[in-house]
Amino acid sequence: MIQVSHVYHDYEGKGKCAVSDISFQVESGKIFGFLGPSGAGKSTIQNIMTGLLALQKGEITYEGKSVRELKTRFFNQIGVSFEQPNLYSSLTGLENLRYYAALFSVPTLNPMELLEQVGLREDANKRVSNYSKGMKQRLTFARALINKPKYLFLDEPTGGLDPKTAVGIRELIRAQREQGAAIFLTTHNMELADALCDTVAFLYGGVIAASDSPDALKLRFGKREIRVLYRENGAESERFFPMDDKAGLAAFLKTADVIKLHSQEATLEEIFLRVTGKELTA
Amino acid sequence: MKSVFFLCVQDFKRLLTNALFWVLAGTLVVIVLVVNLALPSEIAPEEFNIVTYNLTNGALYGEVMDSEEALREAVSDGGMIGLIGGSDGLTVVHPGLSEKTLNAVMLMLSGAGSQEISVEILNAQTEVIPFNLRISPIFICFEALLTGFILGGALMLAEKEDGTVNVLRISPTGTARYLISKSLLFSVIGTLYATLICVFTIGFDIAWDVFLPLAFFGTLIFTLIGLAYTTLFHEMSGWFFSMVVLLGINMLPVISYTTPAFSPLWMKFIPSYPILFAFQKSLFGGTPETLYTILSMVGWLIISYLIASLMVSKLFLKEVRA
Repeated sequence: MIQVSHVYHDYEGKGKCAVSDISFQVESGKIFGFLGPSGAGKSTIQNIMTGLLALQKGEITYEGKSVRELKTRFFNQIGVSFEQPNLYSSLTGLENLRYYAALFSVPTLNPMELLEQVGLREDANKRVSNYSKGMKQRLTFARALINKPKYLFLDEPTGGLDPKTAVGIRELIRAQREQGAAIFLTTHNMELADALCDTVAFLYGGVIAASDSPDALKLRFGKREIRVLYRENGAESERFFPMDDKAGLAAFLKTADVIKLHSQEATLEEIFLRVTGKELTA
Repeated sequence: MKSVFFLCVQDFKRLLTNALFWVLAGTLVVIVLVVNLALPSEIAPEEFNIVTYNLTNGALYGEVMDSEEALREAVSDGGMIGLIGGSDGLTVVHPGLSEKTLNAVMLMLSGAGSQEISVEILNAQTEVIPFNLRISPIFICFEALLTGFILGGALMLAEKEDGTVNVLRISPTGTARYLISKSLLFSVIGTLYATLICVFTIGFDIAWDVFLPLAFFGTLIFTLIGLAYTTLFHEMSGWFFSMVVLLGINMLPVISYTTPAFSPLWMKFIPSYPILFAFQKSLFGGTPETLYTILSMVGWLIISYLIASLMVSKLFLKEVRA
């Protein structure tokens, strides 16, 4: 489990914190979604958690051990998929994975099998400089998995991917969860967060504006109503029923020419807008 | 060790796509061609005749001219050295000959009136080393051994520019493994480079037991210095320009190599100094300064590793781990 407690970070040391009083936890076998627009502080937190930035104030622990005390070998346990693919462009996809695998002192996965899983097997021996953006993104994701990480950090893992490939990546992320990894997912893609995350936190202006499971947030911020679209005298009409008025809804459905039924729960996008007053954009 | 070897192999593959690598490979060919075909095997000595005017016993030194104008004309058009006597002393007029030649003239004038100057060779070695081959150690020391400085820096800058340094930072590789994998690769390349220059210019009849360790550890030192130095830069142009200045300073021992009389103490603290002279001895024979060379190189190896380790750790990999 990763525990983040009251973390602050001031880049310039002038008292203006990029992130303030950030606290949350990421349990093993769970996906924690960190949602927010660009500049909200998502990368700052991820960089502190992965050791790319020094922890200034607060505490971050991995299984109770402070990030300040982590030794080099700890990095055998983490995998990071960066938003901007950072690959050796003069090497092939396969060579990139082999190079990265050589950095670890723990058993690593077969690079070719990983490439197969992300749909790059046929392009394994092609230089990365000839890859498309989506291919680079998939290779970056595959690289993050090569050491079978216990802690997985994913920054916009489906950015720039076509819908079919994105679905495949989602399945791989779910598989990592099933294998017990604690997954920290940074994204502004609400659909992805809704589909994958066990818990989400909305980060805005360097602070967490709200945090809970997607279902709990929808319940808290959505309308507990059912919208019924039906046909009456040749025209379409609608009617709303409270969630707990089951008898009224049942009676209406028996007589009405129903076209559609909709629960009126809010989307994460709408909740973010309601909580922060700002739309969630990249 | 296996992973270090693997990192070396992958870095070598990266090198094959780096333009600087091929520039250095081309330079190797140019060096061999220049040494064998362009540089003369011996440099002709400066020859001069002396003309005098108004000088007591002027005829002893050379042709006596009728006037000062005639003397100046002979100097200017005939490339001679003129000696003009006067009430306030002697004036030497020359068309721009070397200081070495002028010193010989002054010595002659201050002597007992004899024009004959004898030369005694102090080195016991009787075989004269051709001029073009004497230059080879300079090429080996300042081209072959600097491959690690240049190419290691280029790979490191590429890692900064394409962002792969962040991948290294969140990996368990650590500074030591990073430095060892890079410096090992370039030490092998530098040794191979030096060997090729040697074989294609001087041949095989050299002290290989001295030459090979010199090339390997010399390249190692310069690679570590280069990696440490490159941590200060983020883009190629600034790095390249300042690198030329730094390498220029490192080349100062060439002055001592070509003018042995000029070897001030400070010059001996430049890392290339002991290496250059040790190469000379390993290639052409002579009495090596073994203790000085070993102590200097071990000292520089320790210093360069400590500096590289500190700078790569703090500025490049930015390790915040315990």
